[in-house]
Amino acid sequence: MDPTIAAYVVLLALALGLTGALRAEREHCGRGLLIVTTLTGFLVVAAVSALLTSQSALELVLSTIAVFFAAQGAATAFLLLRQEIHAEPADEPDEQELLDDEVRQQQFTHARAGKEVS
Amino acid sequence: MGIGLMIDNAGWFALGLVLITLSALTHPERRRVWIWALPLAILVVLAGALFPGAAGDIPGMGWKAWLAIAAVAFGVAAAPWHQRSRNQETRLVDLVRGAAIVLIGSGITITLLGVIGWEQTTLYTRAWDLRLAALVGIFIGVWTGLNGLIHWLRLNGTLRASQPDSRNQRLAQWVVLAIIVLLGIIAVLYPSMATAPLVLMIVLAIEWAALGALQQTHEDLLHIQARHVGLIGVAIITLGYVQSSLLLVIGGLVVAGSVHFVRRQGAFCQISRRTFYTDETGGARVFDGEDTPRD
Repeated sequence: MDPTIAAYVVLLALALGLTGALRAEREHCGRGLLIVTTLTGFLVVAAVSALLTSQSALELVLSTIAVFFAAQGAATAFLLLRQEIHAEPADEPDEQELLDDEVRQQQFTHARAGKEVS
Repeated sequence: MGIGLMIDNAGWFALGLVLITLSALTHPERRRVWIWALPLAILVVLAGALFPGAAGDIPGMGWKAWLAIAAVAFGVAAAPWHQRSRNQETRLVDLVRGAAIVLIGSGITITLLGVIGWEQTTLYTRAWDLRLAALVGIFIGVWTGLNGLIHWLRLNGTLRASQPDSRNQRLAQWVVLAIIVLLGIIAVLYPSMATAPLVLMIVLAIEWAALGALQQTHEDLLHIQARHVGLIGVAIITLGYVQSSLLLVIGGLVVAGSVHFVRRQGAFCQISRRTFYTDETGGARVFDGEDTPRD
């Protein structure tokens, strides 16, 4: 592809990552690193497309090994990210969770009232 | 699009999903369930690549698609699922070990994709940029994979860290790096005689990366791994350039995440800072000042 367009696209993505999407306070930088490590899982897609378009037996074997290791790396990165997200201290109660709890409580009360009536 | 990028509908959908997820996950008030959007985005693009072959729309590709699905399944199954439950605090050593596994997997993948790319692009002698992309991939893959492997062996106690190198040793390492670059330039510019320089470059890269990884101090391992995540991002950019695909954007985001972490000395919430390396690596130095319980 045209190197100039490629450079523009990469610069845009870098700017987006540096200024917006991945900007967070210091405590969340570790989370950001694990998020982008999970994004390296897109290597699986590159390896799979190499496997599908392989022309020789050597390419087929190499790309199959590449798919295996890429999938292992991606799954490991996702597990690390999941751990990090769930280890976040709950400083403030999550508004959505509070709402969910309220709805659940209401449903429980309605169900009990319904049983008592019947 | 008409600008050279070849992204299909699944790719645009996945890109949108990734950007929304990044915004959601870096916002502390959003819900945790957003993490599942990342594997979903990867699966969407993967399905877009696999489905025509698996459904038999492309003759002769069906069994390759099923081979790819099996390799993905085995790879996911081989990940360390059993290590810890998600609500349990981990130690830094566990995190570094997990990141080392990621680096090994990604490094091997990038190296093999570089080799495949090299084999395919040497047919076209004018495509020096494609050869350069393949070569950069091979170098980054060898460097990153070996770093991950040595970190993993060090954390398991199989390898011991070497002494910090002297000035002359550092000088020798720089000379080796210069030779690697020179061999790479020769391989890119003269594809007809590239085999010997390429093999020699890979051997020297292995030596260079291994010596470097053995000398790193325990305190620096995680930050070095973060830098290597950035290098993987660079390799993804080169892959995206070769394929003119979505990977250009993903690579840019990966580099940005790595820069954020390295520059701002990020912290991890999952680490319990009571014990660091004392019981795991047998004789490795205790992390100074960090061996107190976290509040």
